[in-house]
Amino acid sequence: MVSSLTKKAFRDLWGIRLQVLTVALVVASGIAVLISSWSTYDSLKKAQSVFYTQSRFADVFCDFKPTPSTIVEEQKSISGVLEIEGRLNLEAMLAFPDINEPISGRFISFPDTAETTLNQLYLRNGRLPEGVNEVLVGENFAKAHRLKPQDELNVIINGKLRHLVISGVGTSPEFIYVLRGAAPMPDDFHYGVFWMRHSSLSQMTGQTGLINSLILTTATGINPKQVISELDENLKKAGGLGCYPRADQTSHFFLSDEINQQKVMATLLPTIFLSVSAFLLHIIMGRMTSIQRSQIATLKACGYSNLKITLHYFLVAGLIVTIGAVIGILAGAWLGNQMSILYTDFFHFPILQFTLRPILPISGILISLGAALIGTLNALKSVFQLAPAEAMRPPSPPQYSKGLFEKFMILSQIKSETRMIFRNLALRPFRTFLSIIGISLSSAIMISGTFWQDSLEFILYAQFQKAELYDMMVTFQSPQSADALTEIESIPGVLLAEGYRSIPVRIKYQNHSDLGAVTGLQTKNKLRRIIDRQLNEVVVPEHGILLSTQLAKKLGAKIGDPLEIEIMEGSRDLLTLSLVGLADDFIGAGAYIHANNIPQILKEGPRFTSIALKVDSLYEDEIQQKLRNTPRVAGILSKKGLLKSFNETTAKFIGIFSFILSGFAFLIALGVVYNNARVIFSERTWELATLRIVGFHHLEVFKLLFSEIVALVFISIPAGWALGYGLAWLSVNAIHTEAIQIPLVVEPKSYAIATLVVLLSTVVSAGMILRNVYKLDMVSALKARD
Amino acid sequence: MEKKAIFAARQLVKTYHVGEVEVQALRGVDLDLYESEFVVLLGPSGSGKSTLLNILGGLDQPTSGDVTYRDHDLMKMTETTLTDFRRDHVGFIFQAYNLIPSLTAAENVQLVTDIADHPMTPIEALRVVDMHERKDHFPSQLSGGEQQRVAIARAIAKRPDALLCDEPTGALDNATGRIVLKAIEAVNRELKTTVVVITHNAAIGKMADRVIYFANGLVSKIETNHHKISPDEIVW
Ligand SMILES: Nc1ncnc2c1ncn2[C@@H]1O[C@H](COP(=O)(O)OP(=O)(O)OP(=O)(O)O)[C@@H](O)[C@H]1O
Ligand SMILES: [Mg+2]
Repeated sequence: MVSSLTKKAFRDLWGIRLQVLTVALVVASGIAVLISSWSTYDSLKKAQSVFYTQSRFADVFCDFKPTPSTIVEEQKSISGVLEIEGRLNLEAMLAFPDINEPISGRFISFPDTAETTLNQLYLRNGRLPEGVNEVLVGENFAKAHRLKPQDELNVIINGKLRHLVISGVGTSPEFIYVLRGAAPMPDDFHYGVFWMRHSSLSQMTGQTGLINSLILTTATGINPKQVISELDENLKKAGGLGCYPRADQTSHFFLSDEINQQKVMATLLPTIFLSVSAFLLHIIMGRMTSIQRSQIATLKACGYSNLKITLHYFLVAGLIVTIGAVIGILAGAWLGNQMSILYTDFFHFPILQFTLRPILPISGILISLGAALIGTLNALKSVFQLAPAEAMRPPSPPQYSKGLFEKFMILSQIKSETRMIFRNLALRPFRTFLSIIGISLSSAIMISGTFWQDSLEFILYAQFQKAELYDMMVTFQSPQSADALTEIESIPGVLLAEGYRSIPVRIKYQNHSDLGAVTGLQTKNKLRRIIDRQLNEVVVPEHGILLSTQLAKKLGAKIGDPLEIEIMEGSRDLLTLSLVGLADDFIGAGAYIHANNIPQILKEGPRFTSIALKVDSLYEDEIQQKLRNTPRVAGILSKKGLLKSFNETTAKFIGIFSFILSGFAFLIALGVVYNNARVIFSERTWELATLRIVGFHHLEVFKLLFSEIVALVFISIPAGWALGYGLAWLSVNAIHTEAIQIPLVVEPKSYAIATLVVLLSTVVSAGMILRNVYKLDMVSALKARD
Repeated sequence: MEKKAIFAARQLVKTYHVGEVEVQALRGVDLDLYESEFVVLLGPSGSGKSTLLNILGGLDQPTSGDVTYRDHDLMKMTETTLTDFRRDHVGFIFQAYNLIPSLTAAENVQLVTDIADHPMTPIEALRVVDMHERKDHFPSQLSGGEQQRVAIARAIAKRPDALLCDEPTGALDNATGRIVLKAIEAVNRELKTTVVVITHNAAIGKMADRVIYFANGLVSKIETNHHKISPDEIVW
């Protein structure tokens, strides 16, 4: 037999079902965000580690000048080296019959024997290359160009065209995140990775019997640093460019960075969402309980104990949370799965293992339940403190007064209705404050999602409109003499050409070291500048070295500190340069010296490793064609193409992310605004009925009721902007990416979208409230004065 | 002297359906209410008095029958025209005062004068019930009787044709009830407003022009008073 109190619980819930639904959706949003973001993080992390293990991802990587492959055997004796493999690793241009944009690729050899190797290839389709002309295409590139087995691929090696046949499509742990040297983001259309059997690649490039790269695994418990210093020593004679551990490997570095960002988001977003939803649940349960104050007193008078009544309201709260939790868990798991698929696709992980730890839904439910119970308890406490007889009477009339605000207004000019609005808001300042916080949090959540796009656009603007002013960047396989610059300058359509010399170096400071390149720049550069966060040009000093703030931080060096620079080519000199300046830039970890010092350091004449071009856009295609057929050109980077592919990938990704966040923010805004309206409505049903009786029309009553909500919303909008900016600040500071320094930029557009979401939820609430006003039955409202 | 009827009810029936059960609140009421008369409605609890009053005042619609206000058929009115009818022609007084707690006495009256056609000023209306000196007080600062007088001022400020009162003294003691009744009587006398008062106190019938007895959803008896007494003379 169902007790009459349980019946009351269900009837109460049914009576306020829209309210229940909106609150449940707020709970659901919190739980869904918790589950989806953590499960995405867990799944990504799992996919990464499973793939690394299965494919035997190397621990240390070394690059050097082409050297006889016997050098591999010599390294086997280094203690701690487990498995070692030599290979060719080089860049080449590709030619597509109907594409004019420059496309280049990294070609990597793998053993001729079919034995298991390090950095094992994972086949998506087709088979591994066997014949001389066969090549395996990286999945990212294959997708971007819709390549499939048996398709032809044309490569330009040393200025000569070679025809290859695609045997299959695959990936390797080394190239999950495919980045080209200078580019700050993936560009799958213009850059790809290709694998060939060692004999085929060496034959094609005319480097038979040579290798220029080593990969190896180390025994467990061995510090790669020890192995690396021995290797570096051994490889000096081979023109070693320095060995580096997996932690510095580009794909791994960016992927881990990305996964870490996901972790920060997975911590930050659910914290925000769950606290907001817990906060709302607390208020809403509290209000629902206090509306029923005299009912509670009557139950007490009838002999129900406080405990029984408390349990009754817990049942109500528990049911709401349960509804929300079910929706939240389902939505969260679905969304998490979708996000994981999206990420897997974005990174081209071969394996996706969607993992949902049971702790996630459990903690989500517990937090929501806790908030609901505390809210209910707080409200009940104040009712229990009263003697039943006192609580049974309607609450003593609130002490209204003329606010300070009104004293300055010409009283006769305000309508009574307007006064009601202000006095009601001023009567319960704490509640008004809570409502404003609730509504502004929802727009703050919106802003904290959409500002990423603004920040990213700002970086792009800074990078491509202020720092890199060229249209194309040509890189060479080896340093070129000044003739190359003159030659390129003379190509018709080239307006301006500027050459740069980069030197591969290892920069050391105390215990820290970093493998990278030092680039020589002039005092005034036309096409390539270093800029700080204020977008001002940073001038390269005539002496000493300039580091980006990120790199200096990594090395632990301050201005004035002496840095040891080990040149990884030619003379292989070791020199000491003093750190004379920091460039507080957004992207990368660069090191710069004045170009005039380079000939002296390298003991050579002016040579260039890359040339930046400003071109007449009419000639762009022809220039690219010409450059592609120039021997020694390793790659051409077109800014236009890079931006285009960025907009198609990363930007789209962030767009989806913002869109999902908007959905949740809408639900939260709806939850707050509607419940506010609903509470005001039920508290004043009787007052509204009175207005109808004295001759107010439905719409007039609605206007009166809704003006109060609108007043709240309008105060909340600027408050939400401020809170949103705060959340954005928090997000930017919580994420420590090593790759990109994210600037805090919130464009008016983001504020506008957040405002729009709040307004939209206000309109939807208006519709729901209007319906209630039309349904308001004057006669029964008079009878049930409670 | 031929009196003009302002309300006319014919065969008025109001049936409520609650689940399977059918409750007949009115079973075919025939009744005329005339201009500027003072009517008292008496009858046992549940006999349908409030139901009738709500229908006359346009708060509720009958299940069948006819009800007219002057030349207007209330049955044919829409929600909007019924609202306008209440706004312009009838004032209500309830047992529970029904003042807006966030507005002062004067502002509660102003609520109506803001929307009515040819209203009195709030002060004028409050003066009729002798509450003008308390015009700036909020309902919570007034006694029950005083609140009820403000409610009367609010009801008459629009110069209604009829003042419909459902147990206006139900929550008040005798002395206070007397003051409220005097205010209602003053409205009837000075403004010539038709007044209908529902009460359980038969003694109040002595101040009426007519006393209408209700029983079981029907008018059971109508008495005409040839000699009205003032509220002061009523023996409770
Ligand atoms: N909304 C409703 N649903 C069902 N029955 C109702 C409803 N409103 C009134 N009734 C019934 O209609 C009948 C008449 O009610 P009404 O309120 O008119 O009586 P009354 O004469 O005013 O009584 P009282 O003197 O107690 O106020 C009663 O039997 C009541 O139960
Ligand atoms: Mg009644």
